[in-house]
Amino acid sequence: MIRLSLLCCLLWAGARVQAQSDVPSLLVLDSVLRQNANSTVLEYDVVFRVKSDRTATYGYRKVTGLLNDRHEDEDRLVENFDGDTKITTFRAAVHDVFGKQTFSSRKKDIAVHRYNDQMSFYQDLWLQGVQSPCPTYPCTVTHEVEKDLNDFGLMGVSQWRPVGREQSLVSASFTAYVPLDNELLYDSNLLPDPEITVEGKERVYRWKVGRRAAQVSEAQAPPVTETLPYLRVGLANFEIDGYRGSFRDWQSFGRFIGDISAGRDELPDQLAAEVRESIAGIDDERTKIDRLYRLMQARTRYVSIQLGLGGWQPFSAEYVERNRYGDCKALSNYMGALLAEAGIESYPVLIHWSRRAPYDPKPEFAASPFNHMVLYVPSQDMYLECTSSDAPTGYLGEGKEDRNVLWITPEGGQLQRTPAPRPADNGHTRTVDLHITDKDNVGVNLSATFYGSKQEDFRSLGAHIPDRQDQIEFLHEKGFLPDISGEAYSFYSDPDRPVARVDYRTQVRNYVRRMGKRYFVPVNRYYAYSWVPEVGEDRQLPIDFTASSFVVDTVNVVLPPGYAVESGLSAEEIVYTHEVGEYRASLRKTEDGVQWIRTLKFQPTRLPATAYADYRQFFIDVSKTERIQLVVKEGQTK
Amino acid sequence: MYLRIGQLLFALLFTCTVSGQPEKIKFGRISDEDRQLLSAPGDSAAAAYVLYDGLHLTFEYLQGKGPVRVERFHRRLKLLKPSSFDRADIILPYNRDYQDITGVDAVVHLPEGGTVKLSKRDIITEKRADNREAIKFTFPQVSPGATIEYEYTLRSESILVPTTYQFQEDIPVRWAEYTARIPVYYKYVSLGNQGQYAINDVSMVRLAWNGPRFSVPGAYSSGNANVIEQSSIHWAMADIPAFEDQPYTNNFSDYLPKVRLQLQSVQYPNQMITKIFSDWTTTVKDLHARRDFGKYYQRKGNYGKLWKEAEAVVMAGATDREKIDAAYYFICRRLKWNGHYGILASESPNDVFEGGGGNSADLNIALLALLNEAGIEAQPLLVSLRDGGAPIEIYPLITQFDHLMVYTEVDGQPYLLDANGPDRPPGLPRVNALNHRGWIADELNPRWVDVNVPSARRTVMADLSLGADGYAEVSLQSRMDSYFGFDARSCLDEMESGNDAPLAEEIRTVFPEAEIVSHEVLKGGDNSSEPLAYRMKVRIPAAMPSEDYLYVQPILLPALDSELDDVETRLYPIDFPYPQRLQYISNIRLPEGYAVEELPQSVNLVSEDGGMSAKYVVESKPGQMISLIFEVELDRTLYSAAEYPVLREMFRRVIEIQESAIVLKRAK
Repeated sequence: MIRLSLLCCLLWAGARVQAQSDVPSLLVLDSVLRQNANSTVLEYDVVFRVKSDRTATYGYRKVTGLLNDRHEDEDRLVENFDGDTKITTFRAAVHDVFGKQTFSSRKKDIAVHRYNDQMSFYQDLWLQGVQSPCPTYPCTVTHEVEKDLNDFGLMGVSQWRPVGREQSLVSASFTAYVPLDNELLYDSNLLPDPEITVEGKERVYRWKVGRRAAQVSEAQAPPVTETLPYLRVGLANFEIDGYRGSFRDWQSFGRFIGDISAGRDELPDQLAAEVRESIAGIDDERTKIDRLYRLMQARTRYVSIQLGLGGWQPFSAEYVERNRYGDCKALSNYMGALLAEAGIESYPVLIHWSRRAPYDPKPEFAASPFNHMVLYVPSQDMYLECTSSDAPTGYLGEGKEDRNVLWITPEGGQLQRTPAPRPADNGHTRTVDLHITDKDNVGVNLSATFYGSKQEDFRSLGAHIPDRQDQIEFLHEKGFLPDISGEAYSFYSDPDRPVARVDYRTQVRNYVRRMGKRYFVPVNRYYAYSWVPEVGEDRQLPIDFTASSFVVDTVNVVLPPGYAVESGLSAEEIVYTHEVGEYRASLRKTEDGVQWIRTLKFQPTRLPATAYADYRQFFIDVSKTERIQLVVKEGQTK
Repeated sequence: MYLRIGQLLFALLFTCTVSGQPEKIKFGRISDEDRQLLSAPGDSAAAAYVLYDGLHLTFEYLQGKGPVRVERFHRRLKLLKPSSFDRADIILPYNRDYQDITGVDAVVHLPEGGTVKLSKRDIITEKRADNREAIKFTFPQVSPGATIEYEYTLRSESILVPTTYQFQEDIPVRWAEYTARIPVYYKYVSLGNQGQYAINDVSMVRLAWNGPRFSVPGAYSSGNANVIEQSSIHWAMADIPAFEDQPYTNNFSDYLPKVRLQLQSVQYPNQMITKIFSDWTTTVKDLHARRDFGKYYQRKGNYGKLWKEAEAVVMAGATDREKIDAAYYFICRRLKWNGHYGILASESPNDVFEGGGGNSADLNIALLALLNEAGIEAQPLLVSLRDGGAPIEIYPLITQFDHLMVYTEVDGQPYLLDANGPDRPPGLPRVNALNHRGWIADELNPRWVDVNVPSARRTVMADLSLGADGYAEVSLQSRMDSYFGFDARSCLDEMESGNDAPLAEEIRTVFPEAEIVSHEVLKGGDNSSEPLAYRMKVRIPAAMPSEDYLYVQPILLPALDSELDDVETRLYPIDFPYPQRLQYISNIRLPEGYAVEELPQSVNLVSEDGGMSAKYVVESKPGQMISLIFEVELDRTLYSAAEYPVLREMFRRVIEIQESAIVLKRAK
């Protein structure tokens, strides 16, 4: 037994990452490369060798110096694989600062598990990973990977990010070998032009990037694809499962997506009949779309099963009809088929659904940075989100607006932009009546209507949390209701518009603080806007402000008889304005108390780093003003 | 002991209670009423309704392998609201090394009529890289009113712990039943909680058995069948409401009715009894005989390399305490926890050290090895984690433990070690491990001990210099020990800006505009065995100016961050992980020209049981000063459900105090 394991050790040693000699030393790092850096990329050389339209190899060697434990998982090597991808080399090693090897991965250190994006029920993707221990900082981690790729054209190798934030760079390179009958297409940020040569039957593209100080990591910054060296590549010709495609332009790439989805939109006869029946006698196209969208919503549910062409090919309409479920592609395809039966044309749309897309697709460079599919009806200029069971017809939703998307038209792809929301599309109007009778007894009457993105969180409240008390608890937890013991609660979401309304009445204690003859009455205790950007004395990156909303809050305070405001009233409206928005608050006396009205508007904007102090000050002003408190005193006649 | 052991005792009583037993449920056959049912009786808000759920346990015998546990699951579920549609996605995990799932049948009964059977193609076996596999399927044609039904058989070559069966769920259940036929050779103890059984039937029956034949006096064979005595269990519950989860509850599932069996012994006729577990003394011996438990820290071959690296550091300690601490910090600094808990090591301390980390048992067994070699008496301490269930002390069950720590003593006092990062000092287990009791796996003297920690303390001294504009320049000094110190150190490690500095976040919940001017660790930043002394300068709009008045909010750091949630009826005890004492002392310098108009009243509050107290003293001092002391002590951590209103009232009063204001007025 012992002998056997010794033998294993010897064999493994042979396969280990070579020690000492060829690992660059951390000792060369100067103060510039150490500044703001938690790690440094000492070398990162990628070789991408395209062998044919459907086969390639990809490999890299990356040596990273870890300077402290705040590096971004640089000690972890993770690569994915599936039926079309095979990992042929997978090694990790660690060296200490003197170049002595302290770790080299063995088979038992490597974990393999199925990838689960937490969204998908079934997905055919695997991950292989190894964690390399750094005994003391600094240390050097070396990763070596090689993969064989088949049918890789769509996602196999599409981007390269040589360096991250809080990471400095010594040197990195990306080299692609492409047969002469094919072409590498590329788009880059902060990288020099590639050196392009011909070697035999291949064209060679070589990017090199040298020494770079670490970029800081700052909140509300633009994505790294815009502030750091970044490369995106695609092939002029590729083939997957017998389908030929190209990234030459958006039209070609869109045509490829259209091709792999073709012939999957045939409806079973019975469903076709149901479609015709449900729109019989209706002339108005919008009404027809509404009927069919409702039919789709009622009939199906969203289940993510990512199989088939790496998850790019939709299940057929027949499949969805039989099972009554599908993922975003299958449901969009199904909806498109329903519309087609009614003679209404629609296009599948590839989109990146996120608050801020990490890479904004550009008209001049076709790529596939998408993660979702919706449907577009050109005759009505309308988008349909087919994975929602209760969205109003034509409501696209948060995280999908104001971005470049790809329409898959019969003529091929077209890059288009989804509409930008106006601040007033997303927001709320809310009225709170505070009836103060005594310290331990304040009646709160609340009525609020939410619009657009602000209603998305609880639009489906009724469907997902059937119990009334559970709904109250949910809304309380999310900060919409002051407590859970109230009455007269009602909730309504408009089926046809992105609008939801909440009404609530309760009695609260501890709202008012009493001291002697005085009451302290916070005016906007429950809904004060209090977010303030962090202190940023030496802001380096631009500010990318993405919120777009408009909210109105009205608070009516009714005082007990014999009480009047000692202080807190201000004669003038308080106004703060800034590129990111506008704040207005006014307080006026009423017959039995005071009324406070405040509006707050946000609009997306990008500001230079130098504007940070002003930007922050706007939020400080707002937050302070939001904490307005009235001091009320017995017998005061003011 | 917080679980009522009385409920756990099991006896093969011959009992029979039957009430309201429904007609025999046959797979795939549903009545018209059930098919059309659109709400759960008595719970109109229920998202789904379990019409039937059953688990039937039997045993088979595999020649050459021994007994096999065979569990047949059958479930019929009415989906009522779209929120329940996720329940139509079924995942059945198993371990392919010793388990297998067969006989999967699934149908969906459509509300408008018709039943759709899932084909073989729809049922996917998901192979994973390790030995775990899962059967997955999702039901087609799901809509409100659809009834999904499935059954399958889980076979397992391990008969030690049959599947725990829980009668009550988060949705209402019409009928739930557990049945079993257990050959007399296998003796189980029951550790579950009995419910209000509609059927409570335990008897002995004679049934055919495919296992070995034994010639026993009185035994008979019917034809070729081998008939033996078996205990027959039938426990059923009817019309069970959905359970409700409540905050501040620990070991929640202990409060639900369930069947939990554990094999105690095996005895075939004319053979010696094989005890699976007998008593704690035997159990501890067995554990120590294991390589991945005792031997890993007792045999130097397993930890020699580790010791070589650590020896100089550990042996530099002059006293036992110093050696223990040195070993603890050595492990904490050099080994990284992989996020998994365990009571057995996954590899030897040498290999763990080389790999840089491991599960919780790997780290603590490596620590035991160092202590052992350094000549310090130390033992493994096994615990179940919070929410892992209260410990069962009467039976020596190893399966109840999730996590291994180290028990040692300093000056005759317990000293608990739980290595995971140097920010938490020796003597302080991770919060998750504070589940009241633990078992010391001492080979000579195995025993249960309390897993307690002293009160965590935080003292804050704040000097405020208040301006007429309402802004206060605050100089704040704090001393934090125990979990407060640990939290602050973690905060320092992870902070990205001043806003994330220790205490900053708490200040900013009250004053979002607070500006952290500077912060500095005075002592204890690198050494968690001493309290963290910390200084911070902050600029805070602590007062609201209004005409001649200045309304000051003097307490910058709240003791409690929120009231206890309102719940109409508290069902379960409240269980805070550890006691705490918070002290806030402040000196406030008033702006020139202002005088005190009104001060809040000083208060001294003590809860009826004495478990919680609060003190608030505020006084004017000469030289434009106000002094303030605010103390909150939460000494007791466990409150019964009945005590909830009292506790909640205390919380409310404390919050009222910490929000009270001082009124200053400009002198005319």
